[in-house]
Amino acid sequence: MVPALLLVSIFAFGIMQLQTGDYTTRFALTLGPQGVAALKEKYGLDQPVYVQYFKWIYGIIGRPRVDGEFPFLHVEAMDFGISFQTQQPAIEALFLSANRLQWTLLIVVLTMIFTWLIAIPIGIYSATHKYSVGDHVTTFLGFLGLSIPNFFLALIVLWFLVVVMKVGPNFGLTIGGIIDAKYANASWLDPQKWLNFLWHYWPVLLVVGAANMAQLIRYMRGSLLDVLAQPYVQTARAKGLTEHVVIWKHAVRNALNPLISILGFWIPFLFEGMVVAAVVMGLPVVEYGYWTAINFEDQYVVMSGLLFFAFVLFVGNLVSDILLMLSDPKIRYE
Amino acid sequence: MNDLKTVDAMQKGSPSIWKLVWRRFTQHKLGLLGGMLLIVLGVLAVFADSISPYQPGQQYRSFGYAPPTPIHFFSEEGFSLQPFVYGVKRGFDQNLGVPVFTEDKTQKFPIKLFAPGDKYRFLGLFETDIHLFGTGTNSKTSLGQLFLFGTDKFGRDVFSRILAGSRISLSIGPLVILISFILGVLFGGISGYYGGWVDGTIQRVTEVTMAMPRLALLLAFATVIPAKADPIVRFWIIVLVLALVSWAPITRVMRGQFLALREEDFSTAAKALGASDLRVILRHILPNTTTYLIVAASLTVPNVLILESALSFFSYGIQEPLVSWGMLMAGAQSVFEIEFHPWLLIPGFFIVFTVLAYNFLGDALRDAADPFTIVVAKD
Repeated sequence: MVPALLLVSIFAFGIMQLQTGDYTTRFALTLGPQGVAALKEKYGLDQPVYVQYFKWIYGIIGRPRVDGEFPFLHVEAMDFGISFQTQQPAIEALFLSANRLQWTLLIVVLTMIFTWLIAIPIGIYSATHKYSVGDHVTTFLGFLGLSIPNFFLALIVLWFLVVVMKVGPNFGLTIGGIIDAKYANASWLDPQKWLNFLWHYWPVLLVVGAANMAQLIRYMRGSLLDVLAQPYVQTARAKGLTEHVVIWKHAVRNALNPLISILGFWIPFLFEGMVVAAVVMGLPVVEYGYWTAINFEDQYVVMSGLLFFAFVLFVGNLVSDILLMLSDPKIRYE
Repeated sequence: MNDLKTVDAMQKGSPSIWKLVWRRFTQHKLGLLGGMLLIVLGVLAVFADSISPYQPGQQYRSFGYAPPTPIHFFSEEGFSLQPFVYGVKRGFDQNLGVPVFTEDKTQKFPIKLFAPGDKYRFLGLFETDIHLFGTGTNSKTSLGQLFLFGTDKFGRDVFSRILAGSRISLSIGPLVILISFILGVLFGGISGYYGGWVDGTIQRVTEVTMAMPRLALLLAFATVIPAKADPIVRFWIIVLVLALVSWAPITRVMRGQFLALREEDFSTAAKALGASDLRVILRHILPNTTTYLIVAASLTVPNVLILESALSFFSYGIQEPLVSWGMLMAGAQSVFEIEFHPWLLIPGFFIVFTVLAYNFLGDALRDAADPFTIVVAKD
């Protein structure tokens, strides 16, 4: 994972180097000439590209240095560079403003859970009622879910809320954001806060989760159909087990295995949905931080963002490998 | 019926593989529908200038944000077979802050076939002003205009712009696929055929490109394109960048195919007969990967279309005076626009239909690509 992340860092750094412009001038007012000089020195901004790159990596690993003092190896906090726009450390600009990381985790985890909770039963129904009306409807909706670009879905949801339901005047509810300001600091034990959050969350679930849900239903249907054709399912039926036991105990558990392996693939798709939802609905998530960084050509934040997304993807793949190993005893990693 | 066909085929000698593929393909009704829809869209794109009543860049400033023009068959004089539109009066709603258009029933403008309108070059061959339909009153001051899908902020006809945009939106996918295929076949082939450290390096690079979300990478690349770049240059850079995020999965599959096919008996036999590496690759391995490539193309093209639309929607993709479906919706990002000018969302339906058509087609092609598998009878 570390060599791959190093390659990603070179790649990300390479892209952002193609940008032109001197960003330190933005600091001239707040830091003064000496501050700017110190900044240039810290990140090697007036030095050749490879020096800048190594200074960046050196900062990320915490500027380790060895000297005679105990404990001999000294490390600082990880430094991913500085945000030219907000003048904070890059990682803060990406994660910490408005609790972005917490919101992102909450939204992503909830979306994953809801997607599976909704898609798996539909997939099972579709497979056990093959070629029924319900199956055809699901298949068609699945195609539709895969075919709607999520930014368009977001616009349609907004249109539905504003024009059809007339949410503002009718319900006195707000659109956009993830929670109303008056609940922002309330305790999560307050059910009102949860209701308010869920009201803002369901369009996000739709925009971020629709394509994944469609894909998952398709995979679940295909996988279960494969398993149902296996001899051991026939054996189970021949033994006189009820259809319920055959489906849920014998077939579904085995049909789920291939789905676990695609868990890792999802992360990039989740990201795409999150960017769109964040921009159109104004969500306080990491992807929104990335988006503002893109708009302001905030190099270090963009680079840290790319590195962070790659890291999440690698971890996701690792987790799905481990889950797969736990759920399927046939799979062994040497 | 099927049995008779089989017997027939056996008597005549077995049908060629492409015949089998075609037979299997035509059994897939949705796939056929998707294919036909794409052909229709393609024809619309080619003849966009003639079919659309206006030129995509032509501004009718006094008609800014006009809703779709209603088409009438009935008037006070009764039914007329020739549809017509009424002239419009423009007002302004002070409370909402939006222009209001009302019909002026005293002015009738019949919709004519082959009506004169804005000048354009027909397929780049000769100049003409004949459009498939229109009111024939193309002067900017005329009140009888036919805006099928309404107009945007500058009074440009959304319908004409959608047709113009279909040229880019429909061609960007195939262009990107072509480049990704060249890259994918080249690198995947080298990787799978030769193995060793070359393979290792290429695999690491593909892993890295696949490790970053495509949209994140696209946005990062898009900020690098100079703002002053010529729109055509920008278009080609976008194509290249889209190819850069699409080539990696193709490379990986091509590597797998090359790895497997290189060990097949026919490859070993060709080598034993003294064929060069190049000959083995071109004559024995590549032809066996065509079905995969066709299927991959039909599944990747819609992805590229969606990515390009998203990028253009965020104003980081195609730029004026070029038009694409995603770009047309860039103006519809706020709740205000969506509430008062919902017709600006129409281009999105074209994206959905095109992607849907590609997905149907891809599904049918995937079934047809392997005509020797037995279709399980419906139970």
